[in-house]
Amino acid sequence: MIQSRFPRRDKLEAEIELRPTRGTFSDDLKSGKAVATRWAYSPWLGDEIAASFYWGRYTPDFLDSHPVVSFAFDGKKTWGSFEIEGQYVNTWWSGVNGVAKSFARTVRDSSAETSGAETAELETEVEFELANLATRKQGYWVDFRYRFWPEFLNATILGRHFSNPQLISTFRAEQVWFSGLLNSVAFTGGALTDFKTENRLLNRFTFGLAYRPVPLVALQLAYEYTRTNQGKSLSTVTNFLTSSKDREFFQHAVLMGLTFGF
Amino acid sequence: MKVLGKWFWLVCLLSSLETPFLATAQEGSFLKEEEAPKAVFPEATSFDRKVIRSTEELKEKIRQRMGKNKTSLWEDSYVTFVAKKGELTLGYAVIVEEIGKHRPITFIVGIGSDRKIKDSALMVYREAYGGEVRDRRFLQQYKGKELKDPLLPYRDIQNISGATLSVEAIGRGSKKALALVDIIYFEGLERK
Repeated sequence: MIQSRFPRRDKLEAEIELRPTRGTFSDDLKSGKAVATRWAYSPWLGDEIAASFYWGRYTPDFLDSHPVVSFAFDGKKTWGSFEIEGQYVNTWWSGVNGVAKSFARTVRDSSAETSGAETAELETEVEFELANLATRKQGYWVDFRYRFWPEFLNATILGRHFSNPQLISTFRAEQVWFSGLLNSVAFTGGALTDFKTENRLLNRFTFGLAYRPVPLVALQLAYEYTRTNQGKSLSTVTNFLTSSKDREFFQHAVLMGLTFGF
Repeated sequence: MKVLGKWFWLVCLLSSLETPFLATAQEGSFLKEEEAPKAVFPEATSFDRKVIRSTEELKEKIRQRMGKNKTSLWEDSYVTFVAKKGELTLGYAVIVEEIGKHRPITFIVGIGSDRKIKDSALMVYREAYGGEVRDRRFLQQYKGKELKDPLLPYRDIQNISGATLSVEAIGRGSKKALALVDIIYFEGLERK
């Protein structure tokens, strides 16, 4: 949103949210080239290790081109009904500082049209909310799953009509480290006046139970505990909207889901 | 970024090399009918081909033997083979079909004289995904299985992630073949 506010007609204010994403937002998607590859090796049935890589532009096409580069390792190990699966991902966003400057410059240059004596000297102020944009994010998740089906449930509605229903208990742990996470950027007249970054950590633990009557349908119930650095808000590193100021660094959540496959 | 550029082109090169060798289509026709019995009974010297017409009576008997495993399609008839080495009967092979996700998977199941699965082989796979069920290491799991076994993923069969429906189809088809051989050859419905 870009506007001048009463009583200062000589000041143009812009509030912008920049969220990193993939692609160039261009109509011609072919101009946004990206490379993605995954190499997997499965020594035995049910076990797999793999490495993957992504390289692609994350800036819109009206800004300078900067790539996001990501590599990851993942693996899975199965012992009968018990599975462990996990992944480590390391991602860099290049030229974050330059992207912010370029964005502010573009906003100023594209919108500063004035008329009249009182607005001849137009001052531009641009405030950014750089949602989840960081120089580097790295983290991992690991899932422990156990599949089972108590025989007595075959006599109930949960099992009577299905040949291979399953209950799947899950414990999941994940951590993400944010390096150079931008929390505020401000420009006045095209000059950088504020550029604050910080390092953050996000922890999450999930306990869940899923009921899968057939492979393409699952009902899930899970409890999730999410926590970031004490005194910091979860809203800057997750999509949570926290309520209480003194408790906004952690959150309890109950998740319910229904999944269909087609 | 210069170093990154070198890596970028290296990855492009490796990805392009990967394509023709590894990223092959999963659907395909892998065995003809005349080749199929030899794939499950390589030691056999002759095969007697017999076509068993499906009837309501036969379907009912198969249904009873399959229990909670319900077939996804009923064939009009079953192509079966009696595998022999000289005068000795080694076992029986049945060509069956079961629907994976959307389309039928055609495969042959070889059953020994001990009423246990001796081997299986995929003949035609028509889905774009889940073709890993053709792998020898997957099909080997069915060796030694018999009619009373569940033949289900996460029970007595190691599942393949992303191919669960195809894995279930192979289990159902194997059970159908076991039931058919049990009815036709071991209980002698054919002779009645």
